[in-house]
Amino acid sequence: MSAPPLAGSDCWNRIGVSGDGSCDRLGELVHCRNCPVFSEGGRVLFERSLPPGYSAEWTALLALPKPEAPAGTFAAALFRVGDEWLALEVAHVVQIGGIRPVRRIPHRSGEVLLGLVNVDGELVLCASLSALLGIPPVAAEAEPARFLAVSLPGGRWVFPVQEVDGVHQLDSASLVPLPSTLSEARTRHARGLARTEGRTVTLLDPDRLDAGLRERGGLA
Amino acid sequence: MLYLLFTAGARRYALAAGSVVEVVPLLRLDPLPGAPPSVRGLFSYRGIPVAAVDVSVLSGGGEAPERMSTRIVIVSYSEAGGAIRLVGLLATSVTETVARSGKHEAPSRLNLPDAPWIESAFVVGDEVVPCVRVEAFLPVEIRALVDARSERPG
Repeated sequence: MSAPPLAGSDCWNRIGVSGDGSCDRLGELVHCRNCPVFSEGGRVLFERSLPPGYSAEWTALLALPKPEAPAGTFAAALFRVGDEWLALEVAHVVQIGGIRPVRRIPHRSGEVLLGLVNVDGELVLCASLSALLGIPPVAAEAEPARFLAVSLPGGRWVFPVQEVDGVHQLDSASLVPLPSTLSEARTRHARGLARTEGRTVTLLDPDRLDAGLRERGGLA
Repeated sequence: MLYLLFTAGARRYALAAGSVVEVVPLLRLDPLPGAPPSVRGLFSYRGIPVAAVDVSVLSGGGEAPERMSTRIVIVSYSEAGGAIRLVGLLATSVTETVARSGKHEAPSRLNLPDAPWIESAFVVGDEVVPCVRVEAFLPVEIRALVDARSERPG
């Protein structure tokens, strides 16, 4: 058994999750971030003196007008599936994270509905956007590297995606309808095409996406 | 409801997060000659001069130390006439918020004639924290000063 954790020490690096994991409290708390000693250690950081120039920088920054998003634009998260860039209004994005295991649901998991994923202790349905929208995978590319957790009108979903490119301001006036040459699976779930930084992205429609996922995932 | 915790002197207080406009680090303050000692100076908030009131001085202690956790809480409150005022509360240990809902939300309404600025109290950990009302928290002479200085344009 190890020595009891001491306030003011970096016990998390020695006996905690970043150390050898021998701390007695880990059994009950699971992770150091749930431990009061760890919180206290974090709070010590705030008790530092101000670094030189810190006040001056913030004083200048706060004197400027508050930056505002230009009128007629909205924020959307951009992510890539296959070689297609997709966008979803940022209000629907819950979390972006690294790859995690997908648990298959017997007799339910299929092409679109992949299974269940643990998001902060909640089991969330995981679906494949490439299967739903008919986007072929890029041959030379490995498995999806990121997970995108979203909140759609009908509930939460998790999508494996190749990459996420943060939040962009899209112009609602510049949205154009999808060309009819695209597959029906694509046009059905999208609101339109938008351009940002020289890239054409498909803006997904949350309602129709949700309905499509339920239908194709066998949940409707 | 969400509350922001801060320390004034040796005591912790809570402030309804709804009245908080922004929490900013300790800025450079331009002293205001002739102001009460608790008014540490003025700063420009988006081009509007706002007074920074040191709540440690107000509660009878010394000036707040220059630390990362010493921050200016910019709060807005409405006057009887409906005008919106801004004031910066310079407080220490502004690092935490607490959420209270249902029966834990401000369980005890307090009515102290000598301290009208304490509205209610609730328990945080093993401590009872008074919840303050900004407009009553500031002494009259500071409010007069704040009023004259922090008119929001438009």
